Amino acid sequence: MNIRWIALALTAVLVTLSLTAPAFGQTRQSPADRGFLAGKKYDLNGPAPRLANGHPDLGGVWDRPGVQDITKSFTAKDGMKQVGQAELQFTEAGLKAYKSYDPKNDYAGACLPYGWPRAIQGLHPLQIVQSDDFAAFLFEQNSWFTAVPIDGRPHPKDAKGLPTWFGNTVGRWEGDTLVLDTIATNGYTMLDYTHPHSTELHLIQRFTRTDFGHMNYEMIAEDPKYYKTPIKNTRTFVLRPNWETMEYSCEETNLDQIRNGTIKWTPPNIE
Amino acid sequence: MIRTGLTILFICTGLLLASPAFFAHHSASAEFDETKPLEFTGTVRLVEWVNPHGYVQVDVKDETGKIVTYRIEIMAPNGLYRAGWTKDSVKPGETVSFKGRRAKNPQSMNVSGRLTLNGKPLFTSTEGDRRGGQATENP
Repeated sequence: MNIRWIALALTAVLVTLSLTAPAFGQTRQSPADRGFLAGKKYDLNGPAPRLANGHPDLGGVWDRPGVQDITKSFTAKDGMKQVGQAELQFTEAGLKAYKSYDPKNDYAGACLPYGWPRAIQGLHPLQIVQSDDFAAFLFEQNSWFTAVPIDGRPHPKDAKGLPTWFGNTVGRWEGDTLVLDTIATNGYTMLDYTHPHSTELHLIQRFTRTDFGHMNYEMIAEDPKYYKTPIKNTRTFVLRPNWETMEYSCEETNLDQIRNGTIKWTPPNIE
Repeated sequence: MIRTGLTILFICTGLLLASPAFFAHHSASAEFDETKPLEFTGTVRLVEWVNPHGYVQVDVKDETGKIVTYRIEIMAPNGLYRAGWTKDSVKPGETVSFKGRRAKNPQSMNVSGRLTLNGKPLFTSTEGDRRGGQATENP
């Protein structure tokens, strides 16, 4: 009886592995001349590098847990982690916006700018390039980028008069943590693939490079118009020395569908 | 022993359910029609290695003997590359099988579903697109 169970289980393992294993492409080492750290020596568990000004250098190509739902939590490969917020307290306006989301009218599918929450939670690489006064966040997904001043300056006085997809972001250091503060989003983006945010979103993102190969990330979304309390997610990113930020044109194959009406985007009603 | 066997079975089920085939791409519902299933075996014509979706063009003989060319949507090539796939993972002239669905647009030859070569899945995300590639050791 026991031997039959073991045989059955082993057969199940073999069948499963044969179904899920690809014909080619076992996870492989990149060619030696590929990867943003190609040819360089590094220790993923070594200390976080610093710029000459003493601040940690967050630069590198980062892998992030793919988060489609900010209420969910999970662990992923190589120490990546997502801790979501299971309970969200919608306001009446927030619940109305949540229920009216139509995935067929999704802005990302129409190759429109992702905005911070969707861009930071995606699967494709994020490359950070940092100087004393600026940090450039280069998202491979759809080749979006945003360059953020990190010298502690405030938002420009006219920020709310110029709402955009990524909003207006400024950064400052709190010890070894880079804190980004975003306001003035246009309301067309979302917190993930189901949860909306309004034009009143105040997004705070905290980046702490804990060692050479790892980054702690915390997102706090304050949006009193749609949510009664702030929403918090924490994540762990890992460095990918053998990755490069590759070109990614959403329009390259979606343009046909946008032209023939298969992909349509109608701006949502912003109250 | 029985507990071990059952544990292994549960793990296998989890592995199978975690397979990318079970997660629809977020834009798939806009283009493809679940009520129009399609299966075929054909010959690879060429691979379009472009984002956000690549395509594998496959020539298939229809019931009248005429050759029609389907365009099978595959995952984002950047992620496939990091998972170890290349544009040459399948070559023109090779025989592949497909099971999936047609596009809503009756004029479109685009299809979406599972592509296999000798019974093994081709151009799936496996480790790469979802979890990231392996960090290398120091060269």
